[in-house]
Formats: sequence, structure tokens, C-alpha cells
Amino acid sequence: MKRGDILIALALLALAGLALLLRPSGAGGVYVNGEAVSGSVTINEVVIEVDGSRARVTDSPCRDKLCVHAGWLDRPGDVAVCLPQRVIVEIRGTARRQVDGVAG
Amino acid sequence: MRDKKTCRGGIHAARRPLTPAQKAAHWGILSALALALSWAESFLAPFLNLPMGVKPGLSNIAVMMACAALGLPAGLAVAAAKAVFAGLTRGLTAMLLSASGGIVSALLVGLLLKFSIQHSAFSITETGVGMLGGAAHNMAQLAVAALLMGTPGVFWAAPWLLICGAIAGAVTGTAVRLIRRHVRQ
Repeated sequence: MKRGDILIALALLALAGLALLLRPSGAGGVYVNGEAVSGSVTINEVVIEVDGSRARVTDSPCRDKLCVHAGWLDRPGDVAVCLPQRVIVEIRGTARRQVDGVAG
Repeated sequence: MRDKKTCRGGIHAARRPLTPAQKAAHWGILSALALALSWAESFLAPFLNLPMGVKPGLSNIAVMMACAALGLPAGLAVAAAKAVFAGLTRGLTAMLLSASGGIVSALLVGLLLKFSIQHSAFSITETGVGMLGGAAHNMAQLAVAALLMGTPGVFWAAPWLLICGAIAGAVTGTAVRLIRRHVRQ
């Protein structure tokens, strides 16, 4: 490791931190493929269980089951993606996260 | 960046260009190595079980080694071989993800390795190059995932994928650095 390597590591860490700050906040809502849902749904054979403002994928015919392994999504910015089945489950917030919200 | 013993411009300067047959052999060996590493890693993945399907990407050792020892075109060729292999074994989506990540990271790594040798005043090693390559690999995949899904929602995973890409790339790059130190190219 040379000085340049450490600078690169710090720059990437800062970039990740910045991306983290841009995550939404506030009361969450469950969105499947960009549309708000209020109850459990099945889209493209992907079974999504919705419980209030949280959701999880319980079953999918895809191979890797990454969407199922993502588990419960409960905070704004949480996302479960099933690329083979073209399904994305996300918790969207009502407001952009304030820097104060992270610091406090 | 490299000491005199391993520097291409140093003691071993009288290095003839490869014949087409040698070139084909080198490209083929590194492509085969990449596929073998991909296959070996598929046994490791269930034990790691990281979110968003994050993998160590050990086959990128072969891509980076091709970039370092044979140049950018060789690196791109190995990345392309990986993508075709992913397509044949895991389907179209896997091929698109492999191709996007592989080609973007090979381009970046190939150019950085060339650049950092020419301008050794800015001292970065293969470890740093690997970190950038790994991060770029995952961001390219995220961009393709966003296109496939038609929604930018996947970008909420960016911080996690950036950090994992940098860590995996640091491991890959360090491996390449150790290989280059001990293997005459």
C-alpha cells in the first residue's frame, strides 16, 4: 500500500458515505416496480408480503433467490431486486434525509 | 511502483514482441484461468451469502493479470470470455451484468496500470488500481440493473456495492501485485 492507494480508499469511502446521505427518510411506503402497494402481491411469479410499511419477498422462481435473502425491508432506501424476474421492491421515504438526521 | 528486477524496462529490456501463436496461447490460458476461478468461486458463494449477491470476484485476477502483462486488449478479451461463460451457464441477465462490470473495470484497470507505470511519481500500486476497478465494476452493473428494471431504485444499494467492490478489488489487486513480483512477465 502506498499513499495513492490510501487516498483511493478514502475517496471511495467518502463517495459511499455521500451516497448513503442521499438515501430517503421519513415514513416509508412500499413500492413494487415503481408503484405503491398496500397489500401482499404477486408479480412475475414473485410473491411479495406487505405488512404496513414493511415488505419482504417470500418466494421467487429465480435461481439465486437474492430477493428472498434480502429479508424484511423496513427502512426507506431498503431494496430487494429480482433481476431475472424483473421485479424491484423498495421502501420509499416521504422526505430526503437531512444531514442532521444522520449526525443525530 | 516496481523494483528493478521486475521492471519491464530494466534488466529484461530485450523483450521480443509475441508471435501471433504465443499471443493466442497467453490470451487463452488467462481466459481459461478466469473461467476456472469463476467456477471455483461458485462453491464459495453460498458460505459467504452476502446481500445483493456480492461475490469476491476472484476471476478478475486473470482479467487484471492480462491487463498488466499483455495489455488492455487482452484484458478486454478475458472479460468478454467471462461474460460468454456467464451467459452460457446462468442466462442473459447474468451475461449482461458480467459484460458491463467486466468491460468497464478492464478498461479502467488497463488504462490505470499503463498510466501509473508511465507516471510513477503518483504512487499507486495494483492494490489501489484494483479498488477503483472493483468499485467501477459494481457501479457499471448497477447502471445496467437500473436500465433492465427501468427504475433508479436499485441505486439505493450503491454505498454497499461501492464498499464491497473496493474491498474485493483490493484483494484482487494485491494478488496481482504479488504474482507480478514473483513471476517474470
